[in-house]
Amino acid sequence: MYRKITALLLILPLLLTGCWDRQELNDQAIVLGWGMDLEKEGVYLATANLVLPLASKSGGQQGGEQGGRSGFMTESAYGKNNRDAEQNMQRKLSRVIFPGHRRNIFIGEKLAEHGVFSILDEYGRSPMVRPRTNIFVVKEGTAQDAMSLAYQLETNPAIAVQKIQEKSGAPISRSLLDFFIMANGTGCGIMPALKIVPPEVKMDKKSKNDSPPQTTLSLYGAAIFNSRLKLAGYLNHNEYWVRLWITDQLTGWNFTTIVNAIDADQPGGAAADALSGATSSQAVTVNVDTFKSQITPVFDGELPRFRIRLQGKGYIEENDSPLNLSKTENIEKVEARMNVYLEERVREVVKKVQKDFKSDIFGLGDMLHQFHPYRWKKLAADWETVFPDIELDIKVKLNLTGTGVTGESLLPDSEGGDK
Amino acid sequence: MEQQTRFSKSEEPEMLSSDLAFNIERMQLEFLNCSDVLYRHCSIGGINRATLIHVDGMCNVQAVDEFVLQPLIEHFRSSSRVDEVREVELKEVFIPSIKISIVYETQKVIKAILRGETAIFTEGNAFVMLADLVKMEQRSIEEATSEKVVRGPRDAFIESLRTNTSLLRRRIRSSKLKLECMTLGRLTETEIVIGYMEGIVKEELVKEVRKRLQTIELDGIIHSSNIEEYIEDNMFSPFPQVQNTERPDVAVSSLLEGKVIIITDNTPFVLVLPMTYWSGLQAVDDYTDRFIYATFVRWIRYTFVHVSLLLPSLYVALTTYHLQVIPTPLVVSIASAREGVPLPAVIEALIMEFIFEGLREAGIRLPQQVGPAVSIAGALVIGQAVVAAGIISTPMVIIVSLTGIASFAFPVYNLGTAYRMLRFPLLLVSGVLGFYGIVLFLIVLSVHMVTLEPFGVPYMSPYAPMTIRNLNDVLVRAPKSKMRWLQPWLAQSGAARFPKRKK
Repeated sequence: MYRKITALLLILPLLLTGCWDRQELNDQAIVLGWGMDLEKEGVYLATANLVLPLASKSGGQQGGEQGGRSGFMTESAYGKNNRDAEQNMQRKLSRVIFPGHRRNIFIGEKLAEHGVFSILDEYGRSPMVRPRTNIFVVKEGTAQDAMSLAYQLETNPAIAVQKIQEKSGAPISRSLLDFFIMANGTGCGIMPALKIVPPEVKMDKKSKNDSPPQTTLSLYGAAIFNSRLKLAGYLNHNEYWVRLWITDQLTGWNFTTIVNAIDADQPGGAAADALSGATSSQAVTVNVDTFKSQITPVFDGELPRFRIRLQGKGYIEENDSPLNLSKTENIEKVEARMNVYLEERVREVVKKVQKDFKSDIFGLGDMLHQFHPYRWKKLAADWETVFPDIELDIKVKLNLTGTGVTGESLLPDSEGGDK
Repeated sequence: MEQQTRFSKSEEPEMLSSDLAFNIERMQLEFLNCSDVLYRHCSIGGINRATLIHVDGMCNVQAVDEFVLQPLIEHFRSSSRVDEVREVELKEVFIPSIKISIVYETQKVIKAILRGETAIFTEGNAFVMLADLVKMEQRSIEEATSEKVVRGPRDAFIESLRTNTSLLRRRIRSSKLKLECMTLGRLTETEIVIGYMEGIVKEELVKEVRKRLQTIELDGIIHSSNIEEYIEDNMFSPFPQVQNTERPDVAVSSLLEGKVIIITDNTPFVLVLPMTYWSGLQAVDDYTDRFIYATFVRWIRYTFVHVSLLLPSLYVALTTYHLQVIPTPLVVSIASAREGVPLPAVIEALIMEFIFEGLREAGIRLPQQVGPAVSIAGALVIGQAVVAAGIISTPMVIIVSLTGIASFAFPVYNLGTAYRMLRFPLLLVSGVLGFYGIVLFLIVLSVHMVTLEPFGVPYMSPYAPMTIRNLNDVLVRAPKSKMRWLQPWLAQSGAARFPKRKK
């Protein structure tokens, strides 16, 4: 009897203390994206991308949006920081803001230039927020611009940019985490950058059902932050793979270059011929899916030098030159041409980062720290000033293992060359 | 009634008289108003020389006529003596093929008559000859209805005790199979048989079973479940501690594992004890299918077992407390499905589970003519209209029907009922405390399950406490040639299914 009473008394407090944070699903406003813009010093404009469950429902059942309602809504509010703005926003919302699915954070260019230090704290502190979050800088625009734009392929622009990012060859959904890690390492930071782009060619709708390309969101490249976490500049799409490759994060990329076809295809010609004067050149595209990077710091004197060896493995996806790819020596020619081209590109971008941005986004400082911890201690404080003048020895070596389903082109070659 | 008890409790047993008329009167008093008791007198020349008493419908009347009545009459006709018939003579009268016994006590005669034997009272003898010509109406052996198999024997136990024992005996042709007889129930005098394999079973287990059965003091044993409730260790546990089966092959394999079975007359369900949790999850098909497939199916079953317990509570906890755990696209689609639903998820789940259980309960006892009506109402009204009306959300209907299907994946029905019942408190707890509550509940449940020890055998054995060499019939179903060792908790120590093979 006493045992039963004791058991009951032990059970009852559970009901009193348990997590009484029960919140029905239909009383929550699910936030998929969160944007921050700088209005003026100390005043931020927060924008939230909320799921509209009703619209998704009709969309799911009948295919397409019903009655012109899109699957999301945006709401905005001013505030002194994230939480303050969120509270101000809550006054306009009938449901509790639920940030547990906030996978995408947008930062306006103005705020990025002003510096992101002051607003990033909440993203790491709040227990509701996932560490695997994308953070984007909106180039030449505000977060609100990017978030209000309807995206055609997905119901929600926040989901759309997340998916675009996933296809970009960079690590998936960890740009916020990586930003925090980098900021604590070499002190600078990098974030993917978005841009609102108009269609390449403007076209009018001729009939109601036409669907010409529209202004849409696009992944521009990467935004680079200096050690004060202010925007230093951008690397465009064709530049930021360099950073990914050097830091060993690239998962797939297509490289296209022009090959000097005529000289290269001479019978008995050497691989180097592919590089000589481009009298008649055509493009060759190579898809590389395995990347390797090896960075070795070498000390000659006081300052280190870095040996960077980039390796890749891929196959030829497109060959518009008259090169006969069924011959091994021709593939070697493409390899040689590619290596030279890629090395040139890498050097260019590295130089741009060193001279223009002065931010060690390649993690060279971290490498130094790992290889020579004591020397790094001396250098760490001045790294920002030392980095732009560091000597880099870059070598790229591609290994092409395939030519697709055909070797020789299926079309007859009318421009000459060896068959 | 009072008289009867007085007779049975008197110290000296009441003996029969040598006066036939007195004896018959005594019997008529005993069977007053028992219209099914027949008296057949053999009057020769106006004098009653012998009387046969048997219960109508419980003996083979034709055989009684042919082997008892006719020889008697012929004997009396041919015999010149009128006064008395000697015992030896009488015995000679009947062809020796009938089982005949001689009884002197009144109570024994009464019991024998009630068992269906034919009592032969003769003039001048203070004893009764009992002819065992019992033949009762019984149904033929049919296919098991509650435990279906794809491949395996089709026969099932029936209500007749001896038929059931014969089903066992013809599977185990060994004198090691012991079938001890006992009579239980003050009024019903139900025969039960305790079966076990000598040399495999632990002696203490048989002793314990005997002891517990002897303590049963009931007026009647109507089903084997009456016994089950009496001998269970923990009667307040939701988990069954005695398995029941209507399949002789299950009973036989249990016997060979060292378990004890109890066959009850008039019940087609044989009790197998002690039950362990894992034996409740092993189906006959596991052993008739190839072992790889059997292992696969067993894992599906384990999954569904947990689905039947956890799915509704997990859904409620996830959607009301832990939204961030669900993948984003799923959360959006659940949110849109729940849009406009007026009830909280817990209440929604409780209502739907309740309705499902009601449908199931109604379905068991449906007369065949109204069956379609209920299934139409159940499937259409509950399944569709409720969602169309926006009272219950679609995911909830999916969850409940999945849970419903899963709860029928249990090979042993009464283990399934335990889980079905536990679903409701778990649902409440998850609605109040979320994952925290579910985990608390599961901890309490696990503690309870490992502390259960029906007949001294741990309920979760061989998993907890673990005997590694027996796990090959728990997590997987190993080929028969690899399952050498019997469970040490059940069988005598060192008992193996086959001797060690020579290399």
